[in-house]
Amino acid sequence: MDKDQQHGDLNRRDFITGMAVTLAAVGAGAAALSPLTNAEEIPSVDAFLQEHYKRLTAEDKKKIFARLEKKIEKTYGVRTTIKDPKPLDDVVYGYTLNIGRCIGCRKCVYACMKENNTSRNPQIQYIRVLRMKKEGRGIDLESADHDYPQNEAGDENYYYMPVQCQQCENPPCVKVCPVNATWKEKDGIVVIDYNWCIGCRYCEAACPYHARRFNFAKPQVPSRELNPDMAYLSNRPRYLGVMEKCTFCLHRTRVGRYPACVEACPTGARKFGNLKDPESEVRKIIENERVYVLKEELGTVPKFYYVFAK
Amino acid sequence: MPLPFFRRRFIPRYGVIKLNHGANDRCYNCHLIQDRNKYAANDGSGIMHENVEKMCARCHGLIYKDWRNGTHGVRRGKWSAQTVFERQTFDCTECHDPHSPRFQFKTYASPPVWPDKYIRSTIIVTDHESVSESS
Ligand code: HEC
Ligand code: HEC
Ligand code: HEC
Repeated sequence: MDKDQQHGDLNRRDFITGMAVTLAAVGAGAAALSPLTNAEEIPSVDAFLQEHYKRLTAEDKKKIFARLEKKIEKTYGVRTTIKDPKPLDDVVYGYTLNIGRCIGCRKCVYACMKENNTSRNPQIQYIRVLRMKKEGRGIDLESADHDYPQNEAGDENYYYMPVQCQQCENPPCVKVCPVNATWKEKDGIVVIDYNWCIGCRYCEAACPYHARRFNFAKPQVPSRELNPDMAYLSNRPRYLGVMEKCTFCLHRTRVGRYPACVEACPTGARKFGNLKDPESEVRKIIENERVYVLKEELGTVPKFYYVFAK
Repeated sequence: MPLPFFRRRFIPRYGVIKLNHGANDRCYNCHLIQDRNKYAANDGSGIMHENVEKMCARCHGLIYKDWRNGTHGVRRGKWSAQTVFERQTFDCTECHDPHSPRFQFKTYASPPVWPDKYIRSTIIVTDHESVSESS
């Protein structure tokens, strides 16, 4: 334990969590918060005093990123540079997924884990592939299961519907965050500052798509599998007791690349692009096909569209 | 560039080729009769293998248009590509065997092993008042 970690009992996360419990009438109660009380990962004073991401100056960021990089090198033995790509001008990201084509192979799920350095044990996956019977009521979310065995993928009698963060225009998760640790960026991506999150899990409860994940245990990623292409707001290593979620791979997409799940899809069911560009694949699909959003009635206005096309 | 995991393996077969391509049941619908290294175009001229999609386009015009737009098939690289070099587009024959074109895919990945508490409920509730805590 190095010197500045000894002051670790001054733990902002625990402190604010305590407050949140008193404020909370019902809902995510003490049980949900208990993993935090035995938090073994105690932040350094620097981390404790760190300002909210949005108030950080370029100079602050440089220092913080250097500190994080050092920590990663110490933990994983991997040299990384934490980047901070900004939202691009005139870009709002959209995603379309053709359910008629998805075969439920889960290639996207594992490509996402690799790309985003999500915990392997316990497992954290941003994408859940729901399986439901074709006949009868059509898409029936209530009869869907996400843990069908792999030999039951690619079955003609079922639809497979991957669900991940829908990057809502009106994100309910953002509204409930007591400390503004999560917000929507200009390009529509909802992000989390893992150093600001107190792990109260309100956002998880608020998300109608079950797209947010909580680190109940210290995330485990083998060093040799660590993806060194990292951004502060996306796939840098997370901590015990913080939330995380899909960010449309912003460390890739904000430099013009496709998200990992798009490139992994063997059937071409997944399409990604700029909603403001009439020539983009997503715009072409939205204009020419019938598209749906999940749980439209909630008014969340997802930017993730589902298509039923051949 | 490593081969993509679903690229059809090109294994020349010198035996009998069985067609399973619907009503398209004539070799010379696709292969150029005068030059077997080329494919047949509508005007009787040849299409090189590099442009095999032009041959498919003769009969699958709409899909070809979708493919040109990027809505059929897979692209990798940059969504914001300015030049063709920034983007890799899969050819028709990398996913479809021209002689038996039905899409084949056989490797599937295992289900999640996350603990139950990672998902508050496995069903998506419609009524947000009743978000249940199954954890
Ligand atoms: C739909 C158009 C189409 C039809 C019809 C067709 N082929 Fe082909 N054939 C192709 C294409 C395209 C290739 C290149 C294969 C590749 O790139 O993998 C090819 C490749 C071949 C090859 C060399 C590689 C291999 O797969 O063995 C032979 C031999 C061949 N065709 C014979 C035939 C015969 C014989 C018939 C009629 C029974 C036939 N083809 C009908 C499109 C067609
Ligand atoms: C001469 C016309 C013709 C050409 C050229 C042609 N096809 Fe076809 N294709 C057909 C017909 C006819 C069908 C059958 C449609 C049906 O049965 O409904 C078909 C069906 C298909 C199907 C659907 C198969 C299924 O079982 O679902 C695929 C995929 C396909 N073609 C791909 C290709 C590709 C790739 C090429 C170029 C290498 C190509 N076709 C060239 C006429 C053609
Ligand atoms: C990335 C892989 C990929 C590429 C590249 C691709 N396809 Fe397909 N194609 C598919 C898949 C997946 C399906 C859906 C198969 C199914 O539903 O069984 C499909 C379906 C089709 C069908 C059948 C459509 C229907 O209505 O049943 C045709 C025809 C077809 N493709 C032609 C083409 C042609 C022509 C090209 C090139 C211009 C092409 N494909 C490129 C993956 C691909």
